[in-house]
Amino acid sequence: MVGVKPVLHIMAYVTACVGVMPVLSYLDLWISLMLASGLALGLVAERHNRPILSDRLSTLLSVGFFMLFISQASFVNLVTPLINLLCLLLAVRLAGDKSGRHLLQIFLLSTIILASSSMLTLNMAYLVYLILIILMVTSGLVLLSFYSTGPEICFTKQQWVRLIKTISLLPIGSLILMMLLFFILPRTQTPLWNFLNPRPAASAGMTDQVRPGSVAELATSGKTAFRAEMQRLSVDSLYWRGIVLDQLQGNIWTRSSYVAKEKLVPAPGSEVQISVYSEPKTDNYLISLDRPLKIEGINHRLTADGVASGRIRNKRKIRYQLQVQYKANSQQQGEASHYLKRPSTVSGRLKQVAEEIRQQKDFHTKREALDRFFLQQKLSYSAEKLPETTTPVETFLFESLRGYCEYFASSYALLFRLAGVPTRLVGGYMGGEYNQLGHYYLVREDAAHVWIEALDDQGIWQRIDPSRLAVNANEAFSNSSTAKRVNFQAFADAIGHLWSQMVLNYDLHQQFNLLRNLAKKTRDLKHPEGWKIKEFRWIFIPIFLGGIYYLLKRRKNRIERLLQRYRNLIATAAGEESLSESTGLYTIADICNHPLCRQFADIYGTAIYHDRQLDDKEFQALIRIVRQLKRQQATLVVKLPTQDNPSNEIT
Amino acid sequence: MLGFAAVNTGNNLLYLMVSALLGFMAVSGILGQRNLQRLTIEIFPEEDLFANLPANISVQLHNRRRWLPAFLLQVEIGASHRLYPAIPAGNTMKMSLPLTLAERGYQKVPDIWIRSCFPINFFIRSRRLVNQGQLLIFPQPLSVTIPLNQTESRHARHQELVQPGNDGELRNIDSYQSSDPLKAIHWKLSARHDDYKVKRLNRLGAPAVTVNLTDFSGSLEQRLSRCTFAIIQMTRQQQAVGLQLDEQRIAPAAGRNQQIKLLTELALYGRR
Repeated sequence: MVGVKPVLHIMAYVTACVGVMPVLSYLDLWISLMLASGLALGLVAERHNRPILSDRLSTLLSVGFFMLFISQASFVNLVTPLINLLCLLLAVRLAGDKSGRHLLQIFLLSTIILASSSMLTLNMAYLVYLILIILMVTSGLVLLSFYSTGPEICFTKQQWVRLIKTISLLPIGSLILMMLLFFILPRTQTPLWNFLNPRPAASAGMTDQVRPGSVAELATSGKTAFRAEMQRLSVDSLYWRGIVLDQLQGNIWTRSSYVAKEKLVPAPGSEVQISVYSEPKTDNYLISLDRPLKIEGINHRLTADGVASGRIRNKRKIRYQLQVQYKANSQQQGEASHYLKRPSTVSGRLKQVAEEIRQQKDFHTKREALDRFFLQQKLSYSAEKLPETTTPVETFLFESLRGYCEYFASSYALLFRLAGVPTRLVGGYMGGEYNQLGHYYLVREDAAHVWIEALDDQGIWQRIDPSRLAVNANEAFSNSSTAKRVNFQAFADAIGHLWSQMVLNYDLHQQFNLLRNLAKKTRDLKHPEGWKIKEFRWIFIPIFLGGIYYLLKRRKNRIERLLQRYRNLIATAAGEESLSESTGLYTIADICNHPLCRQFADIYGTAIYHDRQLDDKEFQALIRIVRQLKRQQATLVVKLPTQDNPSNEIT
Repeated sequence: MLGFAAVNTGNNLLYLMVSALLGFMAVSGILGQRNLQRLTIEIFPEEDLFANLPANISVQLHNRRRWLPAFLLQVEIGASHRLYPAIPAGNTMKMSLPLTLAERGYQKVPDIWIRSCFPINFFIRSRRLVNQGQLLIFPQPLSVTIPLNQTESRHARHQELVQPGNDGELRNIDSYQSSDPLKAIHWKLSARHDDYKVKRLNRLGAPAVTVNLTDFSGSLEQRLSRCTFAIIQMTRQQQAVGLQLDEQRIAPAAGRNQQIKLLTELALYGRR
């Protein structure tokens, strides 16, 4: 026999640990020590069966900690002192007496501490802690009911098993309902207390200038830039457009205020729908696969040169939908001389190369000539130990012969402009790791890339990636962003993305989308011919498992059910709702005096008295008897013995 | 409080917590409601019930559910209550409960309340079971001095007991059987016959008495109570006792059945 009390106390300690775990790394050292002391004192008290802290001392300490909180809290610094206070109160409660009320306080404080941890971090581990705390708190509250009703209640092992089975319905049911309620609980468009939420850290962003040679080494970051949910495309199509730099001043490419006049030349076969989930960043440019036709889900401005900028509040994670044609080009409308402007001073060597290219008759031959020049120079792609110079293009092309994408693009664009071809730089990202599980591209900051667009003879802007002309291009690009990630990392990222998409970013807008989709699905119910069985295949898994369970259970209980059917039959014949439990099969046979009832009792009794299960033959015989009795029910009249008439009447 | 914070901060992790707690409330409500359903209660008196005297009744609670056990059920009948900590599905649990009823005759069982704080001790759910059954309550016994042989005129003597026994008068002489004690052998007679003879004796019995309600003093209820006491005492002394109620006369007899028969008549006197 195990009592409820010790189990409840253990659960209270475990719940406290689970509640505190997510905030532990944010607590001051002395508060962590207080918590550890509270737990240790509580365990010592359990061992000696008397509390270390008296009720009066506990109250005094709690009041003291509360005063400390009042002195530390302010409008701008509210969350940390609040969590500190909650942890200190929990420490006091752990060390003190543990009556039913105190245990309830431990459960409550642990739950609130876990809830308040969401104001410090949005980590997915919260879900694990939440599941654990729901499991512990719900079970603990049930045991608390037993403890409050009868502190000395004890259960046998079998009773515990039965109790645990019933208790488990609570956390399981709660978690299932949690998944439903989370999506339908009302939300506001603009939360009033947003200042309490953890601030996303925006550490990366797109610069609005390209300045090769300004740094000796390119700092690369493996941080996620964005994720794009879409179908898988070839690597050559994965150019993520961010910003267009059309103005060259000295060695610096910038974006001017020139309003381009362009018209998109559609390529209908290459249309793709993309959902982009962008991490917090410092700029307002919306990344899209080259080239975007339409952007939805965010207030934005899409200029004719394919650059989109959005209204992003608080530098937070954003989500938007893109309609893209990755093979589409844009056609220049009107004058293109803006894209021919060049710096006032250009070295002779560059002029000479440009002049050779200018001699070519059309765009394609000019391009081939320039490509040839790049290949002849045996330029290599590198981001390390680059010379800092005031003439980066010339140094790159004729001396160091090493550089990263900005060097390649600026050099190529400058030479093209000198050769009379309108050119501009495009900044963005290239490639991405496709996650098979989540069906999205993960693009990291180290996939940032610069390429160029040049106007051909038909006035169409053509994408050219000069970095591909590096002698080590294949090696450089396959080792960076397009490298395959380990499966586990891909799995973890897919889960993290799902968490972010389904939970963290779920808002009023998505609620309306959900409602709209539901309404659409409901309308579609009227036209079931559009359904595809493939879409509903997941439904069959629980149905199949449930069916197997039902069949197994049914086979096990078939004898019990047959017996109950037989007894119900006799009870109906006797005009009773049910037969008394004490009325055995032989008694029924005596009362009914019917040969079939006697036969039933004999077959069943033989098996029972020989301590064996009914075999199939006997079971079938019993079924036949019950069926025959049912057919004869009109003639089977049973009168059960009563006090007035102790004799049995059989008709 | 958490819900308020969730709505005002728009923090979805708080929404998760609030959703889980709301789900918990819903499931606990359903479990609490189911805990009081499909229960059958049966009451059996464990001993004779007398008006104004507490007596134990047996309260049998049956959980008719197929899967779900019943927990923390408190059965209340009148001022008495008992806790049934756990009844497995399809099982029965029996407990004794003291019950006191004020009136004699057939009395309705007081309303039975089943209360439970399961699963969470924040609310106590209760369910009232209206019991259609009746209990027969005998009059409350009031002590009275029972005059036996001295009051022949009031308590008529009808017959002596002639049951076989060991301490009464000689009944007859019989042949010895193996089950007879040796001391029962009548040696003188045995000497005159070929086999052993034994003396068969009657049981030493008190005289049979017919109790008349009018012989007792006091109000009707007091007379019924005193009469009840007399019948109980005489039955306890294995005396054959009968009853005279107005024109109705019940012949004297001994034993438990006779006692119940007489007490039933007294309980229902003037209440039929």
